[in-house]
Amino acid sequence: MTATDPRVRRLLALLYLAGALIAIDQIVDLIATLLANPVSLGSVQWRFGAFGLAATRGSVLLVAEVMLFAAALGLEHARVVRFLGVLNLVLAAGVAAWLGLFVLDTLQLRGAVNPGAPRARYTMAGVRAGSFAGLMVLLLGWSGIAALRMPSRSKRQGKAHGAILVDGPSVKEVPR
Amino acid sequence: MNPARRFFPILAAAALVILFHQVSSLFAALAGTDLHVPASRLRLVTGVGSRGAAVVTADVLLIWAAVGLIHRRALRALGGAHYAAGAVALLAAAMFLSDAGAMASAVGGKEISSYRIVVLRILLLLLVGGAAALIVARQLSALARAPSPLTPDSSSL
Repeated sequence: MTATDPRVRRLLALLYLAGALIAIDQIVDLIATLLANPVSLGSVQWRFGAFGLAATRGSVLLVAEVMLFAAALGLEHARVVRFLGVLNLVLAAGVAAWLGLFVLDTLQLRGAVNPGAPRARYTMAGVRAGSFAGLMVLLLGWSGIAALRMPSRSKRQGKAHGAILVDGPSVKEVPR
Repeated sequence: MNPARRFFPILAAAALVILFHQVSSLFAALAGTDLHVPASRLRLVTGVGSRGAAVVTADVLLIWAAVGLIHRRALRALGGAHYAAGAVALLAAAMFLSDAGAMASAVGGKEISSYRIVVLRILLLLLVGGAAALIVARQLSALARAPSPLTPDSSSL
């Protein structure tokens, strides 16, 4: 059983659906959770909490991403791989920018916390969310570059390979 | 190199990031847990149970990458990690059962049935997960020792 088997290809195509479903579900759920309380972009606490909430969804979104990549590579959909590569690079830039703002918010929030309150708790939560987001930026950037560097097979895709004929010391490709 | 093979290191990295995320959450939960109190230990194990799906997914991705790359050292390391994880899960199952038994008298009324279901779910997760980890560990160790097969790349003319 190989990736050229129609049954395997149908199963791989289902991975697109599963990956997209997981990603959409997580994003909609995140938006719904954020909108459940009044949105206040001007508040440091709200921005800190929103980033932490988004970071907790990162693992599941990564699984969805892996599914989409696996389907595109298995089905040899070069255009989808390139699209995912561009999307990952855009996401990497977006997460990096948000991470920068989050670092500033964490520092501001740390300074605003009452001396009696457990300051280490805020710091640890910030370090955890920030380091996860940093790893996400690296991973998204790496996968984006790797996807864009993957050789496009469009020139050979429509052309069937000939049979290999081994004739003594020489190896030839015989056209079908 | 086959384009799909280039995907395996990224797959492994994604799995490691997911594992890092889950383990860091576990350590955060561990920091607020008093391990001398049975109820606290019970809550910690229940928390681990709720993260099971993400950890298992990351584990599958990691094994997929190691097998795809035929990376013997990674297969051996994964085998060792699975032996350790399996042993810890089975040990935790025994401790969890003892703690759940001690706590059961404190749970009364209608809550006892939902408490039993939660305990049963976590116990099954630990027992099945532990046994599966030991079986997977054996398979991974065998794969790491197996003679090198011809990879698609090495067999190209």
